[in-house]
Formats: sequence, C-alpha cells, structure tokens
Amino acid sequence: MSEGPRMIPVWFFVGVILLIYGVIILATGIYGMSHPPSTVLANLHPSLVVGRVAHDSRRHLRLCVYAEEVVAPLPGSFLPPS
Amino acid sequence: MSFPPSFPLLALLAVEPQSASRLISLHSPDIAIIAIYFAMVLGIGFYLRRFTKRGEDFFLAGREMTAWVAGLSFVSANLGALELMGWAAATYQYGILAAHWYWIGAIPAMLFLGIVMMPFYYISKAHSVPGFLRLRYGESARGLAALMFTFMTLFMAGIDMYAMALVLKVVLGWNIHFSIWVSSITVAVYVALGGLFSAIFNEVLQFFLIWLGALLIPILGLIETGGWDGLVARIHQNFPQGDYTHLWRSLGSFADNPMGINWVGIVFGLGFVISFGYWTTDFLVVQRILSAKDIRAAKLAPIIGSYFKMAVPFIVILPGLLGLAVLPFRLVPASAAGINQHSYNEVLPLMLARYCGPGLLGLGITALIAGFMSGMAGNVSAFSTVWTYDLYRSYLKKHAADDHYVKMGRWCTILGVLISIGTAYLVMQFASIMDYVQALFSFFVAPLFGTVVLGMLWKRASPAGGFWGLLCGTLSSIGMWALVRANPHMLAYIALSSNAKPMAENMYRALWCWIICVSVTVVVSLLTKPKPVQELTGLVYGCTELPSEGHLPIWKRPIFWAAVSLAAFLVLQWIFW
Repeated sequence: MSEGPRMIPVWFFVGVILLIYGVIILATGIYGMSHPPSTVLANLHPSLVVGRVAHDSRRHLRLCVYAEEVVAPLPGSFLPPS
Repeated sequence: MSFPPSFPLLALLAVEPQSASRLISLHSPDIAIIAIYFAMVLGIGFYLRRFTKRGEDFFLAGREMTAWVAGLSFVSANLGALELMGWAAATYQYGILAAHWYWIGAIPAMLFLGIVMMPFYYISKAHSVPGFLRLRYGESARGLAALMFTFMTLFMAGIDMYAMALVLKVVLGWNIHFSIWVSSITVAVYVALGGLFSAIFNEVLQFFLIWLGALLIPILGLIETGGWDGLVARIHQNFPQGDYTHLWRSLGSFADNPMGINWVGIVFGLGFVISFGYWTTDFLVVQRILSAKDIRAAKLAPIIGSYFKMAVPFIVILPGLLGLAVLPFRLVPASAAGINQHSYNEVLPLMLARYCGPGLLGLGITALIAGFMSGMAGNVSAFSTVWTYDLYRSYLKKHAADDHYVKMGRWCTILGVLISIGTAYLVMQFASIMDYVQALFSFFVAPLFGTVVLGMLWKRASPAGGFWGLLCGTLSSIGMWALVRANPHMLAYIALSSNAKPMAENMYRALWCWIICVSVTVVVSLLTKPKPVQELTGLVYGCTELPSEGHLPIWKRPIFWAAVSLAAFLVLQWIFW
C-alpha cells in the first residue's frame, strides 16, 4: 500500500452500519409493540431481537479487533498490517 | 461469475412475470435502510480512493488482506442474490438435494485450493489466473483464458444487473430502468474509486447484511413448524409422494429423484470437476485470495470461507424447505405461473414477507440488493484486472508507468459497467442469451481446472500440452452441448443412462471434457518439449520451496483447520443422509 495514513479496517464500517441499522430496527420494534405488523409470529417481536443483535454485534466486532491486538487465539488475523 | 448456474432464477428472467401486483410493500424505515446502504458503499469508495494509487493496490488490494477479510470476501463474492433466490427456488422444486451445491459442490474444492493450489498461485506472484497460465504455459494459454474471462465477466455483470432489476420489479414494483441505472452507477463509482479494496470491503459488508437479513426466516420458520422434525412432517403431509429431506438416499438411480441425477454425477461431476474448476480457477474468487497479506493468510482464507459456506444452506436451503411446509398455496414453475400464482423463484421474498415487518423487510431487501451489486462489482473488478494486466499491458502497451495502468483500470471499470448495462438490455430483449452465457462458462471451467492443476502438480506438462489440452477440452464440451441441443436423446449417451435429465448433462459433460483435457495435455506434453526446470520455480510442485509450518503449534496450521472443516462436512452428509 502507498505510504500515508493507516487504513481504517473494514470492521469499523461494518460496525457503523450495524449500529445505524440496529437503532432503526429497534425503533420499529418498539413502535411495533403497539402497532404489531401482520406477519406470522409477530408476537415474538423479532424487530426488537434483531435490532438488539445488530446493535450488540458492533460491540462484539470491536472486541474481536481488540482481542487480536492482545492475544492471537484465532488461526488468522482480523487486522490489516500496520 | 455466479456458480452454480442458477437454473431456476434464470427461468424467471426468461419469462415475463404474469403477476400484476408486487409481493412486498416497503415502509419508510425500509427505504431508509436501503438508502443508507447506498450512501455507505459510496462513502467507502470515496474513502478508499486515497489508498489506491498503485496498480498493486487498485487491482489486488495491496496484497494486504488478512485471512478473515479475504475469506469472508471469498465466500461473499459467490453469495450473490441470484444464488440466494435461485437456490431457495431450487430447494422448493427439488428438496434438500440443492444443498449439494453448497456442500460437496464447494467444501472439498475450497480446502484443496487453500492447501494445495494457493501456495503456487501466491508464490508465483501472478496477478490473475491467466497471468499464472502465462508463467506456466506461455502466452497462447494466457491469451485464450484472458479473452474468455473478459467476455464472461462482462456478460455475467450484465445478467446480475438485469436479474436484480427484474427481481425488484416483481418483488417491489420498481421500474426496471431505474434499478439498472441507479445500481450500476453506484457500482461504477465505488469500484472505479477504490478498486478491489472497495469490492472486498463491500463484500464483507454484504456478508453481514445477508446473514442478519436472512437469518430470521429459518429461525422463525423452525419455531413455527416445531423444529426440524415438525418441518419434515409438514412437508410429507403437503407432498406425500416426494422425498425432499434426504441428501443421498435417492441418488442410487436417476429415476429415484426429481433432479434426474445419480451419485456418480454428484460426486465426480459436481463434487470434483465442476466445483474444483470453479473454486480453484474462477478469477473472481481467486482474486480475493491473491489479495491476502502472506502465504499463510492465502492458505487460511478459503479454509475460513469453507466454514461459512457450509452454514449457508441454513439461510438458503432451509427457507426453500420451509416454503414447502408452511406456505398455504403451491408454487409453480415460472413458465406456468399465471395471474395470482407465484413461481418457485418467489419463495425467498414470500418467506421474507411472511416473517419480516417494517425495518426487517428493508434489511432483507438491502441484503438482496447488496448481493446483486457485489456480484456486479466482483465481475467488473475482475474484468478490469484481466483486461489491464493480461490483455492491454501484455499486447497493446507493454512498458507504461504504473499509474498509467491504474488510470486504465479506473476507466475500464466505468467502460465495463457501461458494456454490462448494454448486456443487461440485450438480455432483456433476448432472454435465451443467458442460457448461452451460462453454457459458455460451463464449457471453460472444467478444462481450465485440468490445465491449471496439471500445471501445478506435473513438471512434465509442456506449454503446447497446456494450450492444446485447454482448447480440446473446451471444444469437446461445446461439441457435447451442441449434440444434446440438436438431439436431446444424446443425453442418454453422455450421462450413460436413459433416465438422465438436463441437470445431469452439465455434470457428465464437465466430467468428460475434463478427462479429455487431461488426456490431451498428457499426450501432447509427452510428445513436446517441456519448459526447463529453472523456469518452473515457484510454479510447480517439486520445483518450489514451500514454506514449512512445522514450527507452528498445530492449531495455527492451515491443514489442521482444513481437517476440522472436512470432518464437519462429513458429519453433515451423515446427518442429512
């Protein structure tokens, strides 16, 4: 790669989009509690679950990136070379 | 390039939809999710532009991708929406047999690529598969392969584009021209700016979106049916005469299963020749591994990819099976679908609409759009690399500065997208072109695998042997295809059974043309002069010093994780026997 600033890893962009989508889907899930959609198993509130998962995935991805810096438990590397 | 050829969805593209109403209505959160995706991919392209000043950066992402990024991108490059929708449709039609294309049709080949072939691709420092062929066999083999790749990648990008536009029209009621132009301009911008970096970053993004968007269907579906046993019971109740839930039991004879194939075709045709041919030589997927930062990452990437590939049936095959179990109406072939009837191809959007409310629907549709656009981007970036390095630099302008080739790469990305748009409109007018393009792909992939693997494993393979083997294998495949087209009864001779159906033809044709390619390569090589051994360093087993991994703990060695993946694959075959 050309000399210059370090590239932001792809996980950052994945985390950003999961955060944004997590917020939107959580919000629709909260709205859906009083205005449930006409889908099968809507009573399980899947929007709340998926919205929470998306939101949490961002944190898990960050943990994976930090874990790579501290230990190398996995047979590959998450981060690009510095 | 899409593999496997998505027969059911291609049938959708060939038939004008009869249904007047769209399947799904979007709400504002869904539109917001889709719009944010487009903004994100464009933003990533603009951000990555500053890192793609050199050819190595633009065409091969600086060869700095980690094993996980290269591995996820490797799987995502193949996990397009055409495959998602097409193979969910195939599952509705044929049952769990469709899972063979994700298991035996992928896992052994991916592991073989990582452990056996990747060291030679990587050590040779080839920029592309045609580039490797030039180093190993000379210009004639490279030129033939490069021309075929160039043609096929542009056509496949156009088919992806048209497929997406048609699916969005059927599912959402969107205007076809709007879908084609918005998606292709977006792809053109982010690939022209960020090159392979952009394509890979967006493929990794797509991977997460597809899993998040599609995972809800199998989870809620299994809750609705009461688990796997409940699912199987409901399928038997709805379709008492068919066996939709056994992977191998009905493959003893062509007549025992709806696909009209037997285990020989699945194991040797699909599991060996076709899948090895695709996964080890298709430049779109191999390019992602060539971008890895070192040889160990290059070996690990397809192995990591194999784990995720093994899990894909959960979001593709299971929705098709759930459609058989829970949909209150029967789906029909696309050619037979009238007004108010739905075709097999609509099973995935129907399941999305069944379980996903506002927000989740937008996520699911975004995942499909992301899949289509990644397919286009992958084909366009592969075209740009093969054109610039294997055709333009090799034959037209040999000694230009590196930044000249980067500019050529950016401009031919845009040109490639424009040609693909033209192809999309051509396919719109003449849908049968898709059959020919898919057939074209199938002519080439099996002989190419024979040529490449012999080149890597046998020192004696000569340049003349490589070229003539490739050519004879390709021509024999074309000949067999034309024979069956002219006289469908010839299928019985090619597949060695009168009960064989068209699905068997691809597999047996691939097997025969591979055998012919290898035989011709061996015979011609023995009669002609091979390259001197010193010119084969880094290219062939026995002439290449492969880095040792003996000093690494076992859990850090790629071969260990390949063995675990293979064991998991075998367990799955046993569970779903």
